[in-house]
Parts: sequence; C-alpha cells; structure tokens
Amino acid sequence: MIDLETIVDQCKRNDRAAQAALYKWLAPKLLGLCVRYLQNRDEAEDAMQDAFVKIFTGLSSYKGHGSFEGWAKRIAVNTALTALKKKRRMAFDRNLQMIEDKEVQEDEHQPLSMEFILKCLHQLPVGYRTIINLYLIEKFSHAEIAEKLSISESTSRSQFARARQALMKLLKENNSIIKTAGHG
Amino acid sequence: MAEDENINDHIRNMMAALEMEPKASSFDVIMKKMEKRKKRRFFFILFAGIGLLSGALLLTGALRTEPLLAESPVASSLVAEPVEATKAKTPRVAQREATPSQPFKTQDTEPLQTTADRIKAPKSFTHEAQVNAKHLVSTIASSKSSKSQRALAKPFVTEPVGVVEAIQTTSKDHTDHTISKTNSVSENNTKAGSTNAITQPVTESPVAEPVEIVEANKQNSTRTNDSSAKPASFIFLEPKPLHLCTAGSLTMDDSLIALLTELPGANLNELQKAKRSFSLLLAIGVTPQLGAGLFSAGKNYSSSSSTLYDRRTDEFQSQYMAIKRKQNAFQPDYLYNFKLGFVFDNTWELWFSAGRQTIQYNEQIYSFATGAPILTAPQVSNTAYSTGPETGGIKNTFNYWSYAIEVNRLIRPRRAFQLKLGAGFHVNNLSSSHYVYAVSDNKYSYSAKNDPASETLYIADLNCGIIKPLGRRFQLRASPGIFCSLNSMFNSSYVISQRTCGFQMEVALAFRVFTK
Repeated sequence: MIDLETIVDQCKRNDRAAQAALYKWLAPKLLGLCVRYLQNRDEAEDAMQDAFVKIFTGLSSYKGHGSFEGWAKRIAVNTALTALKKKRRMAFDRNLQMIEDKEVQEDEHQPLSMEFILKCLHQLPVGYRTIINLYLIEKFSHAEIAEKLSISESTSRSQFARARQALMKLLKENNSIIKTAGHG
Repeated sequence: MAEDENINDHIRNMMAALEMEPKASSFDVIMKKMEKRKKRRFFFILFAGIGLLSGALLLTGALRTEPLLAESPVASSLVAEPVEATKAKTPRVAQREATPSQPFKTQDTEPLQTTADRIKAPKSFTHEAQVNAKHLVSTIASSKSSKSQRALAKPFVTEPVGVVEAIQTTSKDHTDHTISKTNSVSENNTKAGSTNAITQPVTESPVAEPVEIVEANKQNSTRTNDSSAKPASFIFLEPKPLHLCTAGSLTMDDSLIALLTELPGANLNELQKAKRSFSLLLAIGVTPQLGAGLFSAGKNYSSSSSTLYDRRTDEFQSQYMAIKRKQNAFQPDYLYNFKLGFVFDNTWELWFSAGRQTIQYNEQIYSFATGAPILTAPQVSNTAYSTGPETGGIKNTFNYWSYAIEVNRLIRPRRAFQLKLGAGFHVNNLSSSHYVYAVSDNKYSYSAKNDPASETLYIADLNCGIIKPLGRRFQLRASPGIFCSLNSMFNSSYVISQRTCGFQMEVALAFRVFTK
C-alpha cells in the first residue's frame, strides 16, 4: 500500500523516485484505459506516456479534492481522445448494418471474461468503441460526451444505443454464453 | 431491463479493472518527454520575450530614424520655456514693471495703420504672422525715427511670411511690456471680430525695449490692460524677417540680438542630439575559453531507489566528488559562432548568434577503494573504449550547438575605438559526445549518448571589450570575459552535478551591413 498523498507531494517537487513510484502504481491502470480507446498497443503506450507527462507537469493543479486516480484517469481519457482525433479516426460509422434488435442476457454461470469483452470492444468501429468507453465504462453523461466529441447530445444517445447493440451482437456471435432472449 | 443493467455493470466492472503492464522503457521515455516539454517552454518564453522586446522597441521608436518635429526636444523646449530674450529686462523695463498702470508714451504718434493697411494678409494662419511682423517692425522702428520705421517696415512686412514654428510665452511681463498691448488694438475691431487692422497708434516708447512678438489673434485682441489677464503670445521663428532686421541699419536692443542668435543654434544642436540611428551588423566570432568544473552532489541522485545506474551507497557519491575535485583543472574549450547584431543609437547592441561550442576535460579513472588513479598517464584516445573502459583515463568531449542572445552597452571614450559592456545567454544543445562516467566503485562506463549527459546546457557570460573600426564598414572586436554554465553537464539523477565556469576571450570581425 502506498502513501499516495506523500508521493504526490514529492512528485510536485520533481522527486524522480516519487515519480517512479507513482508511475509504477498508476501506469497499468492508465495503459488499460488507453488500450480500450486505442486498439493499437503502441499507440496506447504513447497516449499513456503523454498522459503521464501531463500528470507530472500538471500536478500543481491537483488540489487534493476528489480521487487522484479519477483525476489522472480523466487526463488519460482526454489524451486518448486527442490521439484519436489526431489520427482522424473519430468518424462514427453510420453505414453499420442494421443490427438485430435483440435483448441479451448474461449466463450466470459463465461470466464474460475481461479479454473477451476487450476483444469484442476492439472489433467495434472506433466511434462506437469510444462512446461505449465514455458512457458505459467511464460514466460520462451524454452532455459531457457531446462536449468532448463535438457532437450533439441526441447524437450521443443514438450512437450509444447503436453501439451497445453492436457490442451485444459481437458478444453473442463470439461467445455462446450470450443467448438471444427474443425481440423487444 | 434489469438484465441489461446487469450486463452493463459487468462490462463496466471488467473494463474498469483492466490493467496492462507497460514496457520497461516507458518511464524513461516519459522523463525524456518531460525534458523536451521543459525545453519547448523555455524557448517559447525566450522567443516571446524577444518578440515583446522587439515590439516594445518598435513602439517606443528606437528603430525610427527620423524623429517627428513635434516630438523633438527643440519643439518641446520651444513650447515649454520662454525665450531668454524676453526674460532679459533692461532697467527701463524694470522701471515699467514697477509702474504698470502708466500708459506707454511715444514721440511718434503716427498710427501704424498706414503701413498695416498696405498688407493684404490672407485669412489663414500666416495672417497672424503678418500682424506679428507688423508689431516687430513697429517695435524696432520705434527705437528710431519714424522715417526709418517706414523705410524698414515696407519691405519687411510685405515679404511673404511663412510660419514654421511658434513659441508661446506666458511671462507676466508680456502684458506690461509688449507693444501689442491692448491699447494697440482697436476695441471696435475687437468687438467686430476683426483682428487684421491696427487702428490705434502704438504708444510705445521711442526707445527700443526688449521685443516680444505677440500673436495678434482674437485672444490677444481681447486682452485688457489688466495685468492679471493671462497672455498667450507666440513668437514666430521665421528666419526671413530676422535676416532683414539684422541687415538693417538699426541699433538693436541686446535682448533682440539674443533672441535672434540664440534660437537657431540651439535648434541645430538639439536636432543633432535627437537624431537616432540604427545599424545592422554581421559578424563571425571565435572564443577560446579556459573552463574548470564546479562539482556538487547530484540533485536527484538516489543510491537506493533507481535502477538506472548501478548505484551503491552515498559513500560512493562523496568519494567520486572528492576525486573529481582533486583532478579538476582549467581545460581549453572553444566557441565559434556567426552573429547578427542590431545597434541602436550607437548606444545599445542586441546580438543573436548560432555556432558550435566544445567543452572537454580529463576523466581520470580512479580506484575508489584506494583513492589512487589506476593508470597514471591519461589516454587521450577513446577508440579503445568503445565497449567500455576498465582502466585508464580519457578526455571527455562534449560538442554543442550554441544559440545565444547578447546585449551590449557601448561607451565611446575616444573616436578611435569604443568600449562595450555586455552580457550574454547561451542555450547549448548537445550534438555529439564521447565520454566515460562513473557507474560505481572501480567501474566506469563509456557513452556517446545524451544519457547521463544533459542534453541542454545553459551558459551565461559577462564581458567587456574594445571595438576598433577598420575602415567604414568593418570592426574588430576583442572581448575578454567570464562564463559559467547555469546547469549541470549531466542529468540531475547522475551521481554528481558538474558545471563549467571560466574565462574567455572573444575575437570577432563585424561587418556593418547598413546604417539608418
């Protein structure tokens, strides 16, 4: 267990050992986050490194209110989104085939594994993947997503609905534990 | 619906808990990115500062070559200060001041109207000058006979008068002693709004008194004999009437002579002082240096936490620092650069330069256990140590790209040469290097990389020098001075901090491209 407050204070004084300790604790979380947004592992590492640079240089703006991990993750999310925008891959796939409106449920005895969900997530178009990440996993509101992605709130809602359907379809197709519950 | 929420929660929990181990080199990459970011910020601040400085110089007019007349010291002095001639008072003037209520009397009571009427003054600004010219003539003439007055007045006042400058005087004497007092201007004309005609005779003394040429505008015409009224008079510095006066056969009052002689000379001198200059210079400079090391403990060195180097104990740090101090000596370094300079008013210089700098020193390999060098004769060739030396010494060499900004204050004790006092700031970017550095007890490592050498070295210098002109366009500059690096040649996490300080002698040949 690390004394986060002490480490953050030392990091503010540019103590390299403290920076290393903070990195060691936080890097796996932020890399996991970046991998969800950026399919390519190298790109995710780049985004994570950029996020750490912003975290280390912007520590003075962290006043200790709220969770440090949450603050750092928000920086990582914004950095990953910036990386996506730089690569101009942020267009939503509007030509996605109509997805069957199927209600799915999880098999109680065989929960979806982390790797499997990640694999399905990476098979989604980048726009869908991003909105699933932002709304479903990061719990941003549609208003916040609209602001981050420069889209309207209604677009965010509709895209999330489609993205979720696409994800469920992929989960179903790729794993027998997803079963069709019937049309809604 | 509840099942939807369940699967949503499951996906969220799974993905939120996703952790992946980054590459081992990732932390070093982050540190390098931070260094680059710091450097970018520094250059941003530097260039922003240069931009602001240049903008300020442009705004304050340091680069302007011709000062506006209105801003010149001459104009300001003319407006601000009364003419000395008007201040000079003869005993008669003093007497009048004592009895201001006494009307002026003159033997010549002939009105000036005859002369003034011949003037067809345009209704423009020159009209005032012409009226003033009449007053000047009348004043001068009143010191002589009326014949001479007319003889002088005729050619004088009909001469086209161009007003180029005016001076406003606020002397209280004005109302008492000027010949254009209110009694010289018809009250009727004043009421009618006309200021062209002088309908009353000048009641000036026949003896010449200090002359004050006054404006005959409406304001003056409304003046009364009340000495409390604030006069506002203008003296027109048109040279033509003055030449006529001096050419005449008049015996002028001393104060008038002072008026005529003082102003032009003063104007020229002031104008010469006010003229600003700007020069652009190109130069090539060579700066031999003698530098020695200043050693201290590495700022972020930690003997236990980092795995970057094989660090053992803090004892190793103190031992190594002692060894470095022991073998410390002045070593020859050098800098050569190309320079672009701006000279303002032959007083200040601003130089930008780019070039190469080399810093080198001997790294004698010691045994930390015994405190004695392993090889007594240091080897200057490093080719044998490309895989890492085990023993011996080496000449560590660091080559930098050097970018500098320098400000000089010029002093000109003699025309044959100038002196300068200057300060410079250099940003050195490591371009190549080959050096050995201590890793741990009895173990040195060879490196040709930036790590652990610092990629950027900041150096400040102070110098004083001589500038010797060679012909019209070339200059030879010699500037001895001192320099010191502001940061260590190595990263802050290295075992020691090593700065370089010493003496330098810059010799530069400058070429003046142009002067405005």
